[in-house]
Amino acid sequence: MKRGDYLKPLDWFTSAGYLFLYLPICILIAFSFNTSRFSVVWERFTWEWYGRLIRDPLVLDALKNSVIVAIVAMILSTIIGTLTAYGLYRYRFRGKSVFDGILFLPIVTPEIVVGISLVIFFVMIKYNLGLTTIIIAHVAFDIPFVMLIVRARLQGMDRTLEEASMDLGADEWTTFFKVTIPQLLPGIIAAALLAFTLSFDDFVITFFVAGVGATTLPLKIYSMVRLGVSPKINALSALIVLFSISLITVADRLQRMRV
Amino acid sequence: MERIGLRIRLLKFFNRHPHTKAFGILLPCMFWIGVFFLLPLVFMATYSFLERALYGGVQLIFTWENYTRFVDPLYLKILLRSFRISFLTTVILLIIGYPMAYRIAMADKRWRNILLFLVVLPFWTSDLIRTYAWMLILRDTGLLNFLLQYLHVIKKPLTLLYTEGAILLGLAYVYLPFMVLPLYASIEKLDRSLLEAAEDLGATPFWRFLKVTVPLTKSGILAGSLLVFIPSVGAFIVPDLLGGAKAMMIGNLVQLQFGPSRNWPFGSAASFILMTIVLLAVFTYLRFAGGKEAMEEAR
Amino acid sequence: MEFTVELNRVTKKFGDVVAADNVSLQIGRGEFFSLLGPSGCGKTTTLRLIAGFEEPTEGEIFINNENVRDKRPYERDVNTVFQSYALFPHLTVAGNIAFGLERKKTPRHEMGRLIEEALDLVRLKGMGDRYPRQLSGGQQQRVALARALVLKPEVLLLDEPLGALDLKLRKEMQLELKSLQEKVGITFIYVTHDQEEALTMSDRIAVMERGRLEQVGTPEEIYEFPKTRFVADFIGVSNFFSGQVIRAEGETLLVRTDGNLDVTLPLDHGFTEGQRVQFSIRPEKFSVGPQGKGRDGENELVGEIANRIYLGGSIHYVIALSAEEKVTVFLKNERTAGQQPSFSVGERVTVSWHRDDSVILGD
Repeated sequence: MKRGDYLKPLDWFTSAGYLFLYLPICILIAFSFNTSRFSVVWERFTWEWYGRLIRDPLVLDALKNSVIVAIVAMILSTIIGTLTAYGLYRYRFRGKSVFDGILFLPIVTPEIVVGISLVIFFVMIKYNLGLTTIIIAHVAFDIPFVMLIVRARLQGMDRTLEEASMDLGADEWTTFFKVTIPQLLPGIIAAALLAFTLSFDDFVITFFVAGVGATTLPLKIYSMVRLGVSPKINALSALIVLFSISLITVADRLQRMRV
Repeated sequence: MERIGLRIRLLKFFNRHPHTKAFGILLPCMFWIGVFFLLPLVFMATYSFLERALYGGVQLIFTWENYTRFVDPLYLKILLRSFRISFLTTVILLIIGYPMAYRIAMADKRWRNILLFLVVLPFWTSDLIRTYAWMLILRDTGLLNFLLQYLHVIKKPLTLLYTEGAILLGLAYVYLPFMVLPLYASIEKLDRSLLEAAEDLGATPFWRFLKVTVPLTKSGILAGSLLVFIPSVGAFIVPDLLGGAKAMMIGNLVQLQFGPSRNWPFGSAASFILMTIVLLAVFTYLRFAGGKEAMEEAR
Repeated sequence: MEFTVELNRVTKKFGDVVAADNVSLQIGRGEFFSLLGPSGCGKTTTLRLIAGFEEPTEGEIFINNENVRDKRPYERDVNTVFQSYALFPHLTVAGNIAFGLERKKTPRHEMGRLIEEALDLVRLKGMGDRYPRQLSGGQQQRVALARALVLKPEVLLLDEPLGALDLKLRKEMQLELKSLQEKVGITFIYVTHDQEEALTMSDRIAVMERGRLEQVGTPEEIYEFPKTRFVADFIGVSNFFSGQVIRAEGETLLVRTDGNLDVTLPLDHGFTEGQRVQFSIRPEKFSVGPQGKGRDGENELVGEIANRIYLGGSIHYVIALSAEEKVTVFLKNERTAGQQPSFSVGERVTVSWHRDDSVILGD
């Protein structure tokens, strides 16, 4: 039996798998350009829904909130996550594996559990729900992801570069900023972009910790979906998906990049 | 000058006490995860043992009642449904994901990266939007019903949305990347010469797959199953949008208690049960897959 | 004598593993000093202790007569050429060379000149704008050298700097490094596992094994008078014998080997009758012929050629002297037209050597 014989049906199967992954998104994008409001029948091409979108003050407000949250969460989680990755890479200490395990927890904990536990927490300490609480929550779930991505980069780094730097007269501080950070930079930027995307797209946790006034784009979409399918949601969704995809593509490029 | 002096003194101090330095670097993370992740979980656990007050709050009275309520067939049914659906999702994704992962691992290097990227991509995009896309397809006046009627397969639209089947489809769709990635990682590491050896010893392709490939990629199978089962059992958006009120899962039950029902202690208990299931799954997995190495792989 | 680097009973343990065991060394100013030994012998650890990447578990290290216990690598006046070169990939060649100068707060205009000089020194003029990945292995190696030398350290530490280069380039670089060292006059401490490299370049060599110093000396001392079996075995080829002292007699020590051969060794007052003794003889010290030369102090034994390897310039023989004892003998190929002083397998020959060419070994 030759190699190709069993790869052929596998090829078909795998192609079908990719179709399954991407067809719904393509349909969504396609219908965002359809003039018909209710029907799935294709009528004519239009930009109308996009036009309505950018004239909708509620959508724009949600966009503003989403961007603020994602940027602040990205900056904080990137700094903390990078420091954490470096600390875990550089130092050995007792309880390190416990620390590792705890960082693994936010990744496996169902979002809904994270969301409601935070609501309880904020209510108990009597902190008003709003943008701040959203940011706090997002930073918490972004940190482990940033840590993992930066750590992968660190593991690929040549340790002697840091030694060389110290050998040439640079102290730990200077070494960290002049040698370590430049080596990690592609990884750090990739992690930041992904943290931004995760934060920008998050629905479940945000849904619980948002409170009344602070609506982000995913929350806006959810409330629109509750009222039924509409081409305007299609248009908004299409924009968000395309935006995410471009960020992720850049992040992927960066992660593969060698300094 | 002052700053430099301080910096050198700090460096000297840290060099004598490397543990302090490690601690300092890890402090922000410890603080954030400790205060905004672990502590809230403790609060939630505490809430689950308190009595509900009128209009949403809690009373500081200890009770088991939030847990004993789960023997009620209504809630037991939700728990069982969550298990059933998550288990089926895992099985379905193993069947879909294994051949895909295998094919990707066998592709040549340039294609492999592209194919992998295309699997990872949806992982980072919004679950909400991807689930919504299926509403377009599955609803009564959706694309699928339209096509089936157009082709005269059916006369009246089928009820596809708000069924367990829709939830299964949605979960499989959303969590496919979680299955393919760990499977790929273990298949890719597989020593090709072992497959050749099996063939040489007279194994048919099917036998070889069953007796060599599957056992050797066990860690990937376990990791993938874990990574699909965990978010499935705690899923909220998919059952909410595709299942509706008829097919609730634990996630919806929790949300209900924090939304319209305003029974936070009961919601906390449901949430705590969910968390326990997840941790049990993780520990079972670590038991089977063997400790730290497996944990790395799961990442 | 003035020492640039001094190690005083330095021990380094990694958990239970003793990487450097009670090492004491004195390295003089301007010396080309090599640490030689097989991998895992502790030579790199010793170098890293001097550089400051590791801290000694016990003992003290002095650089310029100053105890450097509390000094971090960046506070020590030593620089390192790493085995992997460790060139910063995000900086150009000039940027790499400038790295240390910037730390020293060298004025801008002077820096440019120093970089040019350094590039010139390692014959890389005009390469300053390139990135390390655009250079060949040999060129990268020179950048690493320039980067360290531009700081004019007291001591340059080199950790197998030629290990990654191919044989031909390595030979070239050996000579280049040696002349460079003579030119700049800086103390070089050179780690290598290649005995030939150490012999070629060094003023002195320290042979290490399992964390311990086996012997320190000039290349000639190390080769001609190895102190231990390890040194004799690791450097060059040696024939080993062990036996028992029969008696001391004038200038000689009469020994009967375990294979029942009577031989004479140079007198060593440390040995008395009946004591066990171990000694070695280098293969090129033998002469082979129908008869011995009959010099005073000459040992003569009869043996049978067991094996013959023709190597062009020389011929290697394995000659069986007794049932258990065989010696390897290197003879120059002296064949000229009409003459064939070569032996064939099975031929009986007389093997002779001077007693002073036998080297008594310690443990």
